[in-house]
Amino acid sequence: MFSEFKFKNLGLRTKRAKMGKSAKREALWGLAFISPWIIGFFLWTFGPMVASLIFSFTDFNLLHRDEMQWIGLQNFRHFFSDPLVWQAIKVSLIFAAIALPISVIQPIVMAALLNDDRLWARRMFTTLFYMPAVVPFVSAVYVWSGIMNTQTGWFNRGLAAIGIPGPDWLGSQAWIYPSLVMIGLWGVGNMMLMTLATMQGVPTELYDAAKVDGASHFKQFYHVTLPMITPVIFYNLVLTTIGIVQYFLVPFVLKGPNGDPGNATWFYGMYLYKEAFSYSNMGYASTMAWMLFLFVLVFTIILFATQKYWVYYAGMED
Amino acid sequence: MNMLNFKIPRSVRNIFSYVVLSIFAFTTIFPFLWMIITTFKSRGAIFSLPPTMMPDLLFKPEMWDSYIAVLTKYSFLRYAGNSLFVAGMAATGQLLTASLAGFAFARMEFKGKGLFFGLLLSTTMIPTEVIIIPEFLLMAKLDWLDTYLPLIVPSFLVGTFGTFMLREFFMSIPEELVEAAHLDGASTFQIYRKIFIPLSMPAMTTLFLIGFIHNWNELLRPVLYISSSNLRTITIGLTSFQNEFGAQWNLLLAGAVISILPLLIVYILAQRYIVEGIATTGLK
Repeated sequence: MFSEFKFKNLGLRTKRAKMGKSAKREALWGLAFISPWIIGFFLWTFGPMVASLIFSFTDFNLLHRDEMQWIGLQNFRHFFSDPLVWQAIKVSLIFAAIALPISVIQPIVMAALLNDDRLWARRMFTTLFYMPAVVPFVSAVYVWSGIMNTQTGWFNRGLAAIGIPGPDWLGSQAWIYPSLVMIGLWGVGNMMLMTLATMQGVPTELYDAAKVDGASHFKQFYHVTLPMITPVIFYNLVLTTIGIVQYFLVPFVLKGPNGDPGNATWFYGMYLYKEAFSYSNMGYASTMAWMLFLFVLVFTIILFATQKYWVYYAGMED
Repeated sequence: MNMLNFKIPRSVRNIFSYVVLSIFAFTTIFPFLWMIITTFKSRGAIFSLPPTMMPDLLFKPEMWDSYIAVLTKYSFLRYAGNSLFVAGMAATGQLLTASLAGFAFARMEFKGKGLFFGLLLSTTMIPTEVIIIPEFLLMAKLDWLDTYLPLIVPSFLVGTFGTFMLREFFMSIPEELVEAAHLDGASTFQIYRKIFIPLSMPAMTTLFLIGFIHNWNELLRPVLYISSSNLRTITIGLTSFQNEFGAQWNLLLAGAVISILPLLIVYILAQRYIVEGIATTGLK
């Protein structure tokens, strides 16, 4: 979506401007056609965003809604001195440090292996690897929690068979993070498919030219494939980051809402959910939500700014 | 990069590829396999140490007991029906909004088009968190709590992914068709209705399926909005079962199979649509 077609396509339709007299009617029709979406946007996106911004400056609690008061920046001041917020940020950072590189690299590796015309049963592999992506994550969590069970799980039995004593995957504060990443990787199919589609779109002439220059398979991948798929890597990076910042439902189902074991799954989203829907503190939860949004916004802007140094858009050179 | 310039013979590369692909394939399949096997085990066998891959009830009269118990005694038949209804309605609802808006963005010129399209794209970056609290309060105000309306109605009016996907598809329809219809005196709406909609049935099918899968899998909103046990969707049915009865693996996983099976059947039958839809537009 952030890749080149967005920019290319926007310019494509200008030739229709010559249809002068019907242009005004078309303009009205156009607005009519997008009006259901506009209504939805204001009702379910923009309106709620403004409302939660307003709530963030109040002490709105659902249980005492009549006593709601404007408290200015008090929630924001509390936010920065709230140890539970810092714990949540710490947890999210640890998780991001493990999950982000793996989630970005894994689809590239899988797509690179599948991007081979002479691969036997290529379609079968592709179909298979995408399959877990349609599984409800709730079901995936339960299946994996059984496999990762310390006593009866096959994971540790497999490790024991090769002489490695398996850790307590879901009960230890250190191992819970790799476990969560593994559960997440099972459903990584979307990014793999997109990366594969982009790889298949790389012009064969580029590979032919590289072969003429005597480039090895690795060199071709490094100098041709990788630069050509940077838009999809970029897209994946943006979406994965946003996903990680909001991540909490998998540990919520797996370990409950209290951040067990220890405080290891006290993710930011978990805290926000509890604040809003267990303690009905809608004001402070809205502050937390807006701080999250601001973080996402700033981070995305920074990522977009780095684009010109490493993301290659075919046909975009000025 | 000199070390990367070793020429590795194709046969060696092939072996490497197949080994890695097989490992991935094994880790992909094993959870499914273990899940299915466990549902054919008796209560005693699920906790036997060391664990076995051989289900003790296989081909015995009690083989389907876990499924029968889960579907009837623990209401999963009802939960699956509820999810079918909610996901089906929500997936249908988005088609109208997304096809209308997709058509306008692909084929029409109007003031503010760039701005609206920018807004559309930016909504993918807005975290649910900044929306969910006021949304919840709005649903409470409308007296829609503990009904399916909060799970269905918003889908009728949003659809960033769908709009974007159908826009891509509509742009690929040849301009000549539109011009010919214009010459015949067709209105814009007729062109949308009589030409674009029939031609885009594959894309609409893809959108419906992706929407269906997405809504079937949704957990957060059902947890927030549904409290009556007879209205539970399959995802909250599963979490409630786990909370109430703990790790009765044979039953819990029979429930998981029931939650996965419809989607897996849809995926295998309509695999081409889904895979192409994801590959070309990305978002889920």
